[in-house]
Parts: sequence; structure tokens; C-alpha cells
Amino acid sequence: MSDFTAFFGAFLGVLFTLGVYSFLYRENPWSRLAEHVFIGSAIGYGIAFDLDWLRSQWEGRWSLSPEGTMAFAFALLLGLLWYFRFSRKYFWLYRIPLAIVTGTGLGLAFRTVVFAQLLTQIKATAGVQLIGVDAWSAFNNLLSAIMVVCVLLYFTFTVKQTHPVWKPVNTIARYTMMAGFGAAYGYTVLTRMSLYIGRCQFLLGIPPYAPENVTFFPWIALLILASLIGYDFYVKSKTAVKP
Amino acid sequence: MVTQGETLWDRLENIDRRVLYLLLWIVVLSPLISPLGLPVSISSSTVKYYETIENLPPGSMVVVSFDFGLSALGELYPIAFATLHHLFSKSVKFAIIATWNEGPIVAKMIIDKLKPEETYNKVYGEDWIFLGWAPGGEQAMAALGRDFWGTITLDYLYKKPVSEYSIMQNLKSAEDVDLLISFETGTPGADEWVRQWWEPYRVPMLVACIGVMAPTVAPYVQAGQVLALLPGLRAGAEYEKLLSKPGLATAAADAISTSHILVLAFVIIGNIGYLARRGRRK
Repeated sequence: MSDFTAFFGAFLGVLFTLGVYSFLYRENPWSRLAEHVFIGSAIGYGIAFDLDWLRSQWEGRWSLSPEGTMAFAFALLLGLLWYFRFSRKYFWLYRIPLAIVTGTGLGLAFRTVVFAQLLTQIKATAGVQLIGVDAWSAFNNLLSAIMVVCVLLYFTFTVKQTHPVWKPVNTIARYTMMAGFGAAYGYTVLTRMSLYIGRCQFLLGIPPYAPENVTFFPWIALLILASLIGYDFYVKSKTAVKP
Repeated sequence: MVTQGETLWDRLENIDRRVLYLLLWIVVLSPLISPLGLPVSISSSTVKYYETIENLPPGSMVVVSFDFGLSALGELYPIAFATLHHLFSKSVKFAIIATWNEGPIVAKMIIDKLKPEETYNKVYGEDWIFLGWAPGGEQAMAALGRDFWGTITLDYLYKKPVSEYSIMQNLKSAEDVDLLISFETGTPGADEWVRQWWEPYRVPMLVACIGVMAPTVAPYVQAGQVLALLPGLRAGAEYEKLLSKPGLATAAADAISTSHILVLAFVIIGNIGYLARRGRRK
């Protein structure tokens, strides 16, 4: 990569990153520009990548035999049927690839979902060790088992939960769920902050990011901020003059 | 300044979001510019992740899957970087794949930085291979498990038939894989790998995910379907510490702490404002 390309790339990267973050002030032309460029480039990349993959499949496997060529042509034809989504008259043709994708997806998932995501989880919860482990682990395992059972019972809608025995069960279930939501929220904060920190590292040019980034960062930030605040003052002063 | 009819508690509950964002910029940028060196304790899950790779017998076959795009770069890039460094440092063979179409961009960025031939003396096609993207999500995972050669026909870097590489002679299906490592942000990700690779083939798995996915993946760890989980950037810092190779996650560790302290502070301030106002009304 030439120096100019690296320099220009760093400039664009910083401009669009700060353009997106300028949304924090309010929606503005900088953020809209960055948003549109991101969407356009992502779609362009996706299409190019799809075509590249098709080409590699064709060259690497399907063009090597007449049967393969036929199968490839058939698959392409099926794929093209997706576009009938946009035709009112031939909309029904779009349902053929949709049915194939849905059918294979569901078939593959159902093949193992009961074992991988239900029975194994039940076994792991039911098989908690209370004996032969240290006291803290035994307590933790017991607590986990109680909480899982209580939450499951909480969602038993076929029984009217009026008997006094339901009260502690529902209380434990509610606290368990609140702890779960809290953990999920905590991890959500972690993710959002981490992604933001990652962008800050980019802006500061911390390796492996281009060191040129930090040269552009303050100037572009100043430019965007000044244009937004300046425009706000301009609008304010104009409205203030009017009677 | 408190305006007429508005108390300090009201103001605390309604702080302008731009003030919060400004403070966030300050508390994140400050430790990145001038690190505080706050301690990073290492969790047992990170140790397990590290030891699983560390204890792989020489010649083991590992598949590394980039199941994320550029949007998760901030959180997963450091972990993926450290993991590939760890794998290149070992006498194991591995193939890089991606079930997200932006995955190969990230993998290529890391490979370009690590320079495996120069730094680790690893030969492409013999010690490691970059197979690229397998579209189709769960269907692609199932197809890869059944037949690698038929699912990805040309490699990503040189566009040559995968059958021509010596490493691929020992990688034809999931049955040949000793360990799967997935860096994931959602669907397709750990759920699908567990369904398509753990359940039918019992391939041992390690998962590194963005923090928000951790509660979804954690049950698989409890059930033994996933050997260890690295949830988010904080775990990445722990892993870098174990590897003695500080990177972006270590550099971010202080900023994670300061940003979380700020969020906590505002949650507390908001609650104080709410409770005070409620108490006054009573």
C-alpha cells in the first residue's frame, strides 16, 4: 500500500468514524453521509463477495464435469427465482427457493436441536453434584437447580397459581430472572463500551491501526463539532432576530 | 444551574445525554492516551481456553472460524489476534474459515500483521490454510462437517483447489478436526456449531464471543458442549496476559474499567435522584 493510499485511507476512516459519532450530538449531514457510505460499501462488498464465491465454486468444482455444469445451472436458476419477490404476477415462483431454504434449514436444525439444546441442557441441570464437591460448589449447584425449576414453574400457565406455595416459588423465579437480566445488561454495556473503545483505539492510531489516524483525529473532530455548534448558533441567532 | 420549579434531584434524573457522551469520551480517551495500569485478574474460563490450546498435541488439526463482521472488530479482533498468535506458536495445523462474509477481511488483517512465514516459520498450505467464506450459515456448517473439499473448493489467498494443499489431505470432514475455535457475535455462531459439529461429531469447541452473547453461550459451557468461553474484550485482556503478549485488549483494559465506573456512577446518581424525589413527594 502506497503512502498516499494509507494516508487517504486513514483520513476517510477517521472522517466516517467521527461522522457516525456526530450523531451523538444530533442527527446531521455528517452522520447521514457516513451512514449512506457505510451501507453502500457494505452492500457492494456483499455482492462482490457473493459473485467471487460463485466463481470459485464454478472453477473449483462444478465446471469440471457436464453433470456439475448442469447442477450449477439448475442451482443458479433456482437462485434467480428469488427475484420474483418483486413481481406481483410471478410472486409464487419466489416461494420455491424460499421453501427449499426454509426446509433445509429447519431439517438440519431439528436433526440435532432436541439433543444439543434441550436434552443435554436438562441433563446438565439435573445432574448437578451435591456430594463429593466442596461446600461452596454444592451450594452453588443446589441454588442453580432450585432457580431453574422455579423459573420453569413460573411460566406454568395451565395451573392457577393461587395456592400459598406458589408465592416463594414465584419470588425466587422473579429474582432469578432479574439477576439474569442484570447479567445480560452488564454484558451489553461491556460490548457497547468495548466496540466504542475499539473505535477510540482506531482514532488514536494505537497499533495495529494506522498511526496517521491520530493526525487527522483532532482536526476532523474540531471541524465536525465546529460546523454543528456553529450551525446551531446561526439558527438560534436568526430565530432570535425575528419578532 | 437549577431553574425555577426544578430541583437538583430533577436535574440529576434528566442530565443532557450530550453531557454523558462528552464524559464518556473523556473517561475512555484518557486511559488510552495515558494508561493507568489497573490490575487484570484472570478467570478460570480464560485459563481453560489458554490451556486447551496450549495442551494440543503436536500435529492436531484445528479449525478457526471467523463468525463475525467488522462491526465487532473492537471486541473480537484482539482475541482473534491473540488466538492466531497462540496457534502459530504451537506445532499444530489449522484452517481458517468464516461463516460471515466480512470474516475473511478481519482474518486477512490479522494474518498480514502476524506474518506467519517470517515470524513463526509456518508454511502456507502445509501448517495452515485460509479457506475463506462458506455462505449459508448453518447449512454451510453442516456441509463443511460432511465434506470440506466439496464445500470450499478454492482457498481464499491463492484461489487454488484445496485438494492441492498437503494440509487438506488430513482435513476432509469434521471427523478430522481436534478442536474448533469460533469467534462469534450471533447467528450463525455457537448455537449452530453446537448443533452441527458438537452433537453429530463431538468436536471439542472453544468460543470467544462479544459480551452481549455470553449469557447465550454460557449454558453450553455448563453442559460441557463448549470447553471454555472468552466473553468480550475484558477476557481478551486476560488471555493476552496469559500469553505475555499485551495487545489491544490490554490497552483497552483501563478504559473498560473507567467507562464502567462512569456508567455505574450515573446509574447511582439517577437512582438517588429518583429516590429523593419520591421521598419528597411522600
